[in-house]
Amino acid sequence: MSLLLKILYTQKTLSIVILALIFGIVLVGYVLLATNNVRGEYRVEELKNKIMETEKSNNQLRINLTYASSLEYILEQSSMLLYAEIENVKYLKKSSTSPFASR
Amino acid sequence: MQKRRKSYRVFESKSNSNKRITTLFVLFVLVSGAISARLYYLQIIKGDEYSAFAKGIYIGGQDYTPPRGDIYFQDKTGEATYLVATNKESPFIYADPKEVNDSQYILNEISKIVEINQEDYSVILDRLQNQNSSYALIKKQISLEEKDAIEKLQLPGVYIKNELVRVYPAGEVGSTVLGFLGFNEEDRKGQYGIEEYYQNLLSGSALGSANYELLSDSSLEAADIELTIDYGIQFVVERKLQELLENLDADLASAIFMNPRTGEILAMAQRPGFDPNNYSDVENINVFKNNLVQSVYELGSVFKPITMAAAIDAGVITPQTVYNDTGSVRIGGYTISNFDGKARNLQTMTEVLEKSLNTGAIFAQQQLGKKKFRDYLEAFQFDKLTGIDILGEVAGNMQSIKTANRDIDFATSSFGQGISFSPLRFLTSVAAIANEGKIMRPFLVKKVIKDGQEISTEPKVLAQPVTSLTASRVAAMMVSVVDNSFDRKAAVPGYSVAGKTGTAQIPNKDSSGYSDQTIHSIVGFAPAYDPVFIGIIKVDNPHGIRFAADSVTPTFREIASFILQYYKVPPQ
Repeated sequence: MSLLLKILYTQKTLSIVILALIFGIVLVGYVLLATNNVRGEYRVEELKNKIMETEKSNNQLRINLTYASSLEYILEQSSMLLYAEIENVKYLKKSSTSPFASR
Repeated sequence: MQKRRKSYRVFESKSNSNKRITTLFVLFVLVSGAISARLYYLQIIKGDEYSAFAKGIYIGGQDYTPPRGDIYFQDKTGEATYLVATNKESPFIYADPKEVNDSQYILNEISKIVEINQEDYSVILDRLQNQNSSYALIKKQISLEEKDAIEKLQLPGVYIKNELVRVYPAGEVGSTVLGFLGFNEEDRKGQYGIEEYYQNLLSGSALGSANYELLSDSSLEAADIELTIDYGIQFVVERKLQELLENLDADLASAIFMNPRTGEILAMAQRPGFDPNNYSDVENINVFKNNLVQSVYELGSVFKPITMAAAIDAGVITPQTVYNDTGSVRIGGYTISNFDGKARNLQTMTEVLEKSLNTGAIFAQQQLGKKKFRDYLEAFQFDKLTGIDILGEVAGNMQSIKTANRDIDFATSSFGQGISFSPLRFLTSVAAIANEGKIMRPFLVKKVIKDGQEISTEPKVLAQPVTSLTASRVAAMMVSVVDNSFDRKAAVPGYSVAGKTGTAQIPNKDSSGYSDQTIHSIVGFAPAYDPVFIGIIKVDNPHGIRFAADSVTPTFREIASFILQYYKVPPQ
C-alpha cells in the first residue's frame, strides 16, 4: 500500500494523473454538453411536431368553421327547419284599430 | 567527489523531467483550452447562427416552397373577414409497381374502400403493371376514414402520403374574382383573377408585385391577401344573377358593385360561373373569363347621363333646358329615332333621361360640339384602362369619334352606340357623378399581410372630369329617372336612388349593322346624395322581355335594398 502511494506521489505520476483528470473533465464536459444539446434538439423537434399538428387541426377547424358559417350552408339549414326566405315574408297591413297601432 | 557528481546527475535528471512535464502540461492545457474555446464559440456564441444555417441547407435540399397565402373577403361590412382560399393537407394513395406482386388484387381491395370509376380503374391498373416505374398514383384527396381503412389493409407496395391542396370554402361565390390554382407544366400556378395577378405574393416568390413590392422581397414567406369584396353582398349579387339568368334564359348575367367614394369593389360576379375547387370539370372555358373587365360592349342608353354631365358641365344646357322632340333626327343620310319612334314635342333634359330619348341625347351632344364631347369622354377616362388588379383588362373603343369626324358617329355615341367599353370602365367613369365629380381607381385588394407586416391600399383619385355641382345636378336627374319612369321599379322605399337603364343592340359579328339580340343593363347608386354603393347589372341576350326597365331593374332594386339594410343606412 505504502509502495503504491509512493508510486502515486512521485511528481511524474502525479502530473500524468492531473493531466488525465483535466482531459477527463473536458471530455465529460463535452459529452454532457453534446448530450444536452441533442436532448434539446429532440425536444425542439417534438415541440415542432406538436405545433405542426396543432396548426393542421387549427387550419382544419378554420375551414370547417368557414363552411359552417357560409351563407349557402345557413340557407340550407334554415330551409330544413322550414324557415321562410326573407323575400317571401309578407307583412300584414296593420289596421288603424289594431291594439299595436302606433301611439 | 564521486558522491557529489552522482547527486548532481540526479538533480539534473529530475530538473529535465520536471521541465518536460511542465512543458507537456502547459501544452495540454493550451490544447484543451483551445478546444473548449472553440466549442464555446461554435455552440454558445455562434450556435443560433449555425443552427439557422443548417436549417437553410435542409430547406434548400428539400426544394422548400412555402404554403400559398390565404385570401379573405370582408364580412359583415368589414367587421370581420371570411376565408375564401386556403390550403389543406389531403392524403393521396400511390404505389411502387416494383413492390406490387398482384396489381389486380391490390386495386380491387382499394376500390372497395375508395370510389374509383371504370375509366380510371383501367388507367390505374396500367400504371400498377408498369414495372419500369417506381411511382403509380392511385387516388388523390381521399378522406381520413378512407386513409385509415387502407392503412389497416397493409397492402405491400401501397403507400399514403399527404399533399397540400388549395381549397375554396365559398365554392362558386367569388370565383370570377378569385380565379383558381392550376398547373403550369409541373408547377402549381394561379390562373385568372387574384390567384393569377398576385401569384408572386401568394406563392412567396422573391419577385415583387407592382403595388406591394416592398413586402414581397423581404422573405420566402407567402403573403395573405384581404380583398375589398364583401362576402354578404357578393353572395346576394350572385344569387340574384343566377335568378336573372334562369328567368330571362340569357347567355350571361354579370354585375359589379363598388364604393364610389373609395373605388373599393364590393362585389364582382357573373353567371354562369364555376367552382374553383373543381375547375377541371368545366366544359366551356369561357366561364373563366371575367367579362366585366376583359370584354367590351356597346352600352346603349345607360351612357346618356355621361352626355348630359358633359353638356351641363360645359354650360351649354341645364337640366331644365327644353328642346323639341320630333321623334327622330336625320343626320348625314341616316335617321335616328327614339326607342318607340314617337315624338313628344317640348321636353326638358331631365325628361330626356326619364323617357330615354335618343333625340334629346343627340341635342345635348350637338349643343356641346364634337371636339368638346370627345374631350369630355377623354376626361372621363374612357380611352384608358382603370388599372384594376386583374390581368387582361381590355381598353374601351371610341375610335369612331377619335379617328373620324362624322356627325353620325358623335350622334350615336351620345346614347352609347358605336362606342364600347367594359362594364368596369363604364362604372368607374360614371361613379364620378356619385362622387362629387371625382373618378377613383377601382381596386380589389384592401390589405396585404406578410411576416406580421400589413400594407393597405390607399384610395386614389384618377381624375375629376366634371365639377361637384354638375355631378349633383346629374345625380338629381338620375333620381328623377328612378322616381318618374319604369314604374318606379328601381325605387327603394325610404331612400333616394339614382339610376339609368339601357337596352343596347348587339352589332353583327360578320357584317355591319345590328342583330336582333340585345344587352340589358342598369347603372345606379344610393343613397343618391351620399352613396354607399354604385352598381351596374348587365344581361346578355335575354329572352321574353324587350327592355332593361322590365328585366334588370327589379333585380337592381332588390340588391340595392339589401345593401342599404346591410350597411344599416337609415332611411331618409
